[in-house]
Amino acid sequence: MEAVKDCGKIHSPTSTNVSTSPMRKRVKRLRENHLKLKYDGASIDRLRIETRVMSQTEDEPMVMRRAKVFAAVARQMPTVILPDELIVGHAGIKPLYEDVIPDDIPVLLAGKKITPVKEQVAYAFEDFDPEDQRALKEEIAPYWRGNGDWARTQLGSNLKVLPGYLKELFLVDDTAFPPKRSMIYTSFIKGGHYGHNSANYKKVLEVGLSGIAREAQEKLASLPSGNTKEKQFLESALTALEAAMEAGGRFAAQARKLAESEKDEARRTELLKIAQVCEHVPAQPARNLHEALQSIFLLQVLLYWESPRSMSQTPGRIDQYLYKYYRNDIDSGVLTAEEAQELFDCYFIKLSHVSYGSHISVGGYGPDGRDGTNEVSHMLIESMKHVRLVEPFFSILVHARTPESLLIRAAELSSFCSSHPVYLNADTLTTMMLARGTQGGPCVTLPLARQATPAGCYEPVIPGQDSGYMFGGFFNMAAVMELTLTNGYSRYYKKKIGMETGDPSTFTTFEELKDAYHKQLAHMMKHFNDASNLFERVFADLLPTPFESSVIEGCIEKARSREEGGALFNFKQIVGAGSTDAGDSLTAVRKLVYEDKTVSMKELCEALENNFEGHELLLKQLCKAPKFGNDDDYADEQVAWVSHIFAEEVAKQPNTRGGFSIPLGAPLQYYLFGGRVVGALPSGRSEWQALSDAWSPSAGCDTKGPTAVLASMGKIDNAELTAGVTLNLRFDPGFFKLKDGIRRFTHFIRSFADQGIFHVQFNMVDGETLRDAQKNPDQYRDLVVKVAGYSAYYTRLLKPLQDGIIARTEHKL
Amino acid sequence: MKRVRPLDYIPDPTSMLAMNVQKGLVHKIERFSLHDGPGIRTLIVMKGCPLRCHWCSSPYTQNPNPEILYIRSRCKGCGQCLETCPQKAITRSGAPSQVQTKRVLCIGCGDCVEVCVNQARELSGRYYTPEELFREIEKDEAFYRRSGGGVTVGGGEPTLQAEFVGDFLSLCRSHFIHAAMETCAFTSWEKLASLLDSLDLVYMDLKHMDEERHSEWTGVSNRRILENIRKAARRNQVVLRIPVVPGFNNTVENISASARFAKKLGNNLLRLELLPYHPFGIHKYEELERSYTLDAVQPPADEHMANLRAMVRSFGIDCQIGG
Amino acid sequence: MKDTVDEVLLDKVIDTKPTARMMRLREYYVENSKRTDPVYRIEYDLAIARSMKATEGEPMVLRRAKAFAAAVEAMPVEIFPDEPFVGWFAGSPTAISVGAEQLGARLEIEIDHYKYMSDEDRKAVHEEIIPYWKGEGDWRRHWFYRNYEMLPPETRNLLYGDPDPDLKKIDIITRSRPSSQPRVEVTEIPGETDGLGRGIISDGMTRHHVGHSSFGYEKILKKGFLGVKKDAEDRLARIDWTDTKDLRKVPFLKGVVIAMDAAARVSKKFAAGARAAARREKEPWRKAELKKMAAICDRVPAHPARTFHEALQSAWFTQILNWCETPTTYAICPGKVDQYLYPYYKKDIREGRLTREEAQELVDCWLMRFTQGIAPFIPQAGLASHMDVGGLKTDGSDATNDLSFIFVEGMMHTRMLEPNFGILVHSKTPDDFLIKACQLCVLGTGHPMFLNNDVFVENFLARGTLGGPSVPLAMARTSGAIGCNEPHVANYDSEFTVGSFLLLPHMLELALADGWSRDHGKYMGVRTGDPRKFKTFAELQEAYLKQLAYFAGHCEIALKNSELALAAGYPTVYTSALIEDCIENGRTREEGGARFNFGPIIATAGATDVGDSLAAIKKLVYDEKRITMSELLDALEKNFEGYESLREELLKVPKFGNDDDYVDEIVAWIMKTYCDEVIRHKNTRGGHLIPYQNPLVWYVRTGRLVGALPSGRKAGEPLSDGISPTRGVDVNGPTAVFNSVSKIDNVSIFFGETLNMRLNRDIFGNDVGVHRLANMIRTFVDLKIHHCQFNLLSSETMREAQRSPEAYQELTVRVAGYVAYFTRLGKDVQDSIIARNEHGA
Repeated sequence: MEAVKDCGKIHSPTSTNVSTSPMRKRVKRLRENHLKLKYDGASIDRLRIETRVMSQTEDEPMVMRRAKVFAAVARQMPTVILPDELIVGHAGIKPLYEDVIPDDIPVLLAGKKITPVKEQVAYAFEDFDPEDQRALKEEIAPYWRGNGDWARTQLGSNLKVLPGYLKELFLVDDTAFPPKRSMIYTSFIKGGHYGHNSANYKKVLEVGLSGIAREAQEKLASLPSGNTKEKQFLESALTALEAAMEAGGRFAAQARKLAESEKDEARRTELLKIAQVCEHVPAQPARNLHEALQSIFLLQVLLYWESPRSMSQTPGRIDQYLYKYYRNDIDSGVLTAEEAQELFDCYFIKLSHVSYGSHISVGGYGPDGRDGTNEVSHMLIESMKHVRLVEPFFSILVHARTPESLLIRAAELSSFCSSHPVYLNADTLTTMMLARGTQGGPCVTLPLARQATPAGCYEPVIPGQDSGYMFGGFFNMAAVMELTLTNGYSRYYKKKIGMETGDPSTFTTFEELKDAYHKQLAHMMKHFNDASNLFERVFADLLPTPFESSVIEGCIEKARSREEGGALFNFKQIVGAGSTDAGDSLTAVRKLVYEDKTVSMKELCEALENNFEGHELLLKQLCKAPKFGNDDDYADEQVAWVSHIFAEEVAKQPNTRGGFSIPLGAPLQYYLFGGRVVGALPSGRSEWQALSDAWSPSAGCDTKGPTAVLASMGKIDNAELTAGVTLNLRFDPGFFKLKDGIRRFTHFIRSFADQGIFHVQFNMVDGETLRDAQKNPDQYRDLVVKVAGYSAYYTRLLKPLQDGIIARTEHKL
Repeated sequence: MKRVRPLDYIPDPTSMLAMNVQKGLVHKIERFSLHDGPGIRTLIVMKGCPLRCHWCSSPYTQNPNPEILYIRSRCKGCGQCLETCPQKAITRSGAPSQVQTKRVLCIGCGDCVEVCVNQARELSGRYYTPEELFREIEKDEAFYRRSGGGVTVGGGEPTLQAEFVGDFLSLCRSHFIHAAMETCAFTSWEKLASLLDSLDLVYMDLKHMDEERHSEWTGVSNRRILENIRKAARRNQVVLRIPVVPGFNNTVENISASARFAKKLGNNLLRLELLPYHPFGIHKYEELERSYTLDAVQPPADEHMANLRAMVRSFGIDCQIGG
Repeated sequence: MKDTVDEVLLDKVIDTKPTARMMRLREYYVENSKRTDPVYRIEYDLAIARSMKATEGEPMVLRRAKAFAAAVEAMPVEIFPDEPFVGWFAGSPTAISVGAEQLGARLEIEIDHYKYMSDEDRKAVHEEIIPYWKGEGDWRRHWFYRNYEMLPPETRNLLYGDPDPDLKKIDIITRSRPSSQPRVEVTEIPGETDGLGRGIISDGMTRHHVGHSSFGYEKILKKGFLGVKKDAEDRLARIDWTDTKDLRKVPFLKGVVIAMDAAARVSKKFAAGARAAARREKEPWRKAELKKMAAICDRVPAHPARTFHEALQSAWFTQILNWCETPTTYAICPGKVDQYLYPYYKKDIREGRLTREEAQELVDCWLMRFTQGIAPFIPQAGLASHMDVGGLKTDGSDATNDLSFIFVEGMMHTRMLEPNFGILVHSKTPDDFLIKACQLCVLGTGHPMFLNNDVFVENFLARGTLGGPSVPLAMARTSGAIGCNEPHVANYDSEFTVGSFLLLPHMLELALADGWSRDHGKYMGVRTGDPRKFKTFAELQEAYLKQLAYFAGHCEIALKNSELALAAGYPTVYTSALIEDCIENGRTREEGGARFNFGPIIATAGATDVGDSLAAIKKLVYDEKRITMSELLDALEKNFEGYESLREELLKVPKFGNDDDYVDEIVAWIMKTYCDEVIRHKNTRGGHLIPYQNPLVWYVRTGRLVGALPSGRKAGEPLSDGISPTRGVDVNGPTAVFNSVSKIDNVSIFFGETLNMRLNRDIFGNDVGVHRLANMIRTFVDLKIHHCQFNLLSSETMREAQRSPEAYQELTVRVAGYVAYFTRLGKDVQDSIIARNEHGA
């Protein structure tokens, strides 16, 4: 396959009939240039501005101070335009820079490295040039350190509000700063914004930021006099919007400047066109496809400027809201389909230059319940075939009415082995969104449920109306298993941190053990949520987002930031990990202790205490017990139960914004870290090993092929995990070489949808390639894999994560 | 009342006469077809056939050009069509409320269909590009998928429009839609072969083993047909169909000769279908204002059909009555 | 009923032969179902009237409880041969109750037309029952009096065609209410009813305020009536006697104690009756069975059921006791029988008490019982006892079990009109079960209907946005259907179902006449302007929507008024006690005691007719300007006489059901605007009114009320049947019909819609055909259509097609692989096909 060969070395076995439309040279150049770019590291330019504005505005309300920080950043960040670009803009001072945030300072000063999630590249204090080092130490740090407790940073503030009994639970050592966190319950304690939202892009396209500013002014005028919180918010939003509206003009000016010195006639015309576009959007409504793409991209840049560490600001289902601009342009003859394709390609490449994990989905339902697929859906898949980078995260929303033609295009993309796309079940998605409404808070209407869009890995949000990913933290169900078997004692931390649910050797029935587990889980969940709610308030007090709030429906109407519950929908995610380990452990105990009675509970606990040393025979028996992922009801039943009580307990937890918590089965790479603090388990897992990846079968335990995995997964109540749940599969891409490989694959996706499973993603790469890539990383620069739900360049992952991916069972169809 | 002629409906007569290669001429698209392959299917009935079988139940499809069907029982004799016909091909005739079309003059433009408020006139034959046709059949894709069905191209004789059919079938193929074709096999091997790769199943007609009888009743020799069947069965899964017409080919002798022939086709022969003659086509001749020449023939008795089936089965060939 | 089933096919699809006893029973019920008139009994009516008379002055809810207890006491005890169960709706399988209170004034004129009724009973009706309810002559004791009295005259005008501001005509109007279907055709009401009694919307709730429901079965299986009685006593024990709110709960709770106590005693007399019969019985097996039945009656329904047989008997009592509270009620639905009966079946099988064959016979005999009586409102139809099998469990997995199969098999054995039998299908329904269901379907008994469980789940979850508590996911999954095919969460819903009826074609007629009703000779609708002056299609749409909003608004007034009148005059105690949360809340369902308070419905019909009509207007008048609005209106006025060619022109416009976006989009718009309008309206109990698109069997009858339509339909002709295409216009086959219907947002039609389709015996009546049908059902699920039901194409249909070919243009016949449009074949060929069909070839 021509197109695949010329981009680094991927052993890409593609189906014999997969073809892609010709990719324009410009796109190829942009792609290559991007892959060659070095990740230079971090910059403190934004932090300087933030520190300056914050120290100058001490007396003002926080929301206004934040608006002023945003305004200053939006007016001062550099406006670099790269060669060949059609869509312009970038988040950092250069396209691939990280911004240092206040929470980084104590870490850097303590001589430790910062590893922002993006790219997994670390930087330390000595990586900054001497002038920056000086500024950090002498100008910036003193402000954030304050009187020594760092309470001006999020982390410092979080620590301050945490009561003693929760400190016990969440911190191993709170004397150091930053403190050493317990990995058993990892609530949201670290600084940084979590993004994971889909703002009202559609509205910005339709009325422009100026239209939104008008709304804010009208609302402001309608309020009674007096300096109320409502007024403060609206004034801040207006301050932010004003600055945001200027951003396009700044890029336009840069484009004109470049045009003046541009020798190439064609490029000069392009630059002038870019200037025209940017002069108009995002301040004004978009009039054509080019403006629409530029508008939503600059909006993403602006959102990043407000919250620099935020992840996955998600444009979402652009095939739905961009279609009318595309159709209009094509019908009126101002654009050809090829030009449109090029614009989409360029836009996709740009998504590497804003927050990590911009999620784009195609297909799915329209608001009326009919299939939403259109020409743009197909073109976006085509763009993915052209671009094949980590960004954007790309998903296909599959439902019973999805046309086969779209699935075929998607399967072809899968056969490119770039780990794109993710497949999501739009029927289950709709059910999930509707079911959220039954927990409390306002209900989600059918049309809104059908329009939900995945953000981040796939976490569904209601575009433009949702407060976004208010991250509740990771909850370790495997650790709960350990605590249940130790009556509350943690082997790693060597202290009692859980509830005393009774000595397991006194449990005469399996049901008693399950009861104990349920109690332990409910107890820990309550504490967990208490802490995460405290952190949620810190978030609201310290980091309100007047700009982002203004592009979320409801905030202006209620005159409240989204941190204060201004959005129409206010959910908080609580992420589970280790459900399979817990479930498989229950299965093993049920079989060996309570049914076969080949081992006593006491003996089992002893073996666990000793990490199976001297109990090798028992270990073998435990490993032989039925395991999740093989379509064995006996094993699947317990995992489904653990999943169910997790979902049920999460759904009981209110948040502080009038909403409720929603359960999510996407522990990201936490499945590695969470495993490091859990001792041996009856599932046969040895101490400190990684947990099972999300809800997937434990690594290597699914031996009956992918259809059995699907069947097992189908027994989990997917829809009840209303924030989503991950299923990872690694496929031997060789089957795409078969004559009907694509067809077999689409059938597989159809049966996935029939089972009501929410999500499935594939790493279409064989073990050999992965091992080779570990040895020769330079040759695999563009090898993209799926880690726990998100995409990453394989060679930039940490070694344990790389190994984890190799360990996943490889399936053949 | 003002009358406006819609633009998308009427074929251009010049392109029609030139047998435009870009487009195919289709008699009709029959959705929910169940007897021409597995599952729920859409049957594409192509226009034009090189054979003139006396018993033909689908005379609409013989003519390779668009033509007008006249449903006499609905006609109220209002005379709108007379005025509209650009060829002045329609005249009053017979009963006061009836008209007649001079078929030699008719160019199949469809103007009379448009003005007929009683729906007594229909146009057989509409031009489609392969993409247009594909969009039509794609509408039932959800049904194909669940039932293991797909599309069947029949006729008429599809290979008369081999290029068009080939383009259409490759669209089906690229969308993994199961494709079958019904052919009389009286065509050049090249044309037939060009379609076989895109087909999952081929229905082939075997009318008579005796060349003379064959020519007499269908107008052509069976030599090329037999040859094509043999060749096709080497590459594709094939179902043989024998229309059992009393007085023509319903003898034990002929059917057993056919079975012997079929037996030699080997494993690619899925089965042999015996289709009893039926008179359902008669009204269609009337609608074409043609006469039906086989008036005296009665459908074969069920018992006779069962005997023939048993006989074919005795050759070790899967055989069924009806499609 | 006529048994047209193909015996060869039947032998192929059943797993077990029906037992000899079952065959005898079936013969008996088949004979029974041939009766056109029921035997009318008055035990319950008389007991209720006497009890109500004796308790004047007490709180109404207590009086109702006592009346219920008196009716239970009056239940006749008869033990019929071959029946393994006891108890009847109204004394015997051939009987129904008069339902004096449901009929009200109409009873006076109907009573003398009942064929089978003892003179003694007739006398009691005249001398005791009617005088009680009638009182001084104004029917003031009847709850309907208050209902009528409180209505604003404008609403009264729309309901009855007369504003009657001085309340002079209550008697006449209540006698002649034609919108509720009279059980006997008495059209002549001497001299008084001219121009009265026919409105544009109906007050359907006045007669069907109970029924179309499913509640209590599982609860009584699990705790028995004494258990529910104890719940009420426990709740009474928790009353705070100083709290005013709590004090208001006391009469209801005391009423529940009385009612449950009476219900628990219902079986005692039957136990004695069975023992007496056993003594007389000679056949040893039957003797033993009667003894067993007596023992079962000692236990249930007072106490929890222990065995499968007990469970079936208990559920049956729960079913028939409804009639003691409301002597003619309709569509009392046993619901998801394969789910709540399964634990008892499983336990019996596991413990060796029961074989699968014995279970099958019990189920067969139990199903047979639902065919008793004759529907009092719809001639030749049953009581619409709906039950469902299949579906989902609370965790979203497939719920199919052994009993699901046994019930389908039972339906193959019984092959009667009743019960109204549904299969809940979803994307995980196993193949073997779907095949079994399709085998039942191709037998041609009209059973089962297919209900899309995936649509149900979304439907219930989406109702959360209507206000009131939302339905949790687990409950949404286990929802089933009631009545015809209406989605329902059993046990938790207030069971206010049947409400107003509003015909969409009426809305269009009024929009095309500036609100003038041709039928009434006066302005009935709102003045929306002269359509001749409408410049765009959108103006017409707007006028239509205004009419719709106006009438829906008055439906709300009528229904709210009825709800309050019911709460004051007819609070239910038995019903409320079995509906969850009423006891805990200490309130009847009429006062909003239930967990969920959906409905009642504003039902409609004729969406397809309006869609086809609007498409014709849009195309011919506005898009192509072939005809003018004036011409069209004149033609409608004259019912197309003299406008035949214009009518043909209209008929040629694309019609719904052919997968043609032009008209399908319009129908989708009609359904959306209708649903949006209905859910804007609320009831008195914190819930919303609910949209329902199902004309029941009334699409013929209601059609008589509607004049000529721009679709080309002539005045008085039947309307389209549910969301099914107008008869004869769907010429692209069933897949096109499915595709057309799937363009509607079917989930939003919260109370469902009906899609009827014809099946061709030739293509489906064999193994391959069954699989094809199953595949079609799979696609039906994919397409998110709510309901579909198939009628096997009969010789009758073909004869009808010979008579009126224009209504059967789409009818195709296929013999031995060939296909032909039936109406275009010669008469002789048609006849031969009919002959073949009859011989089941």
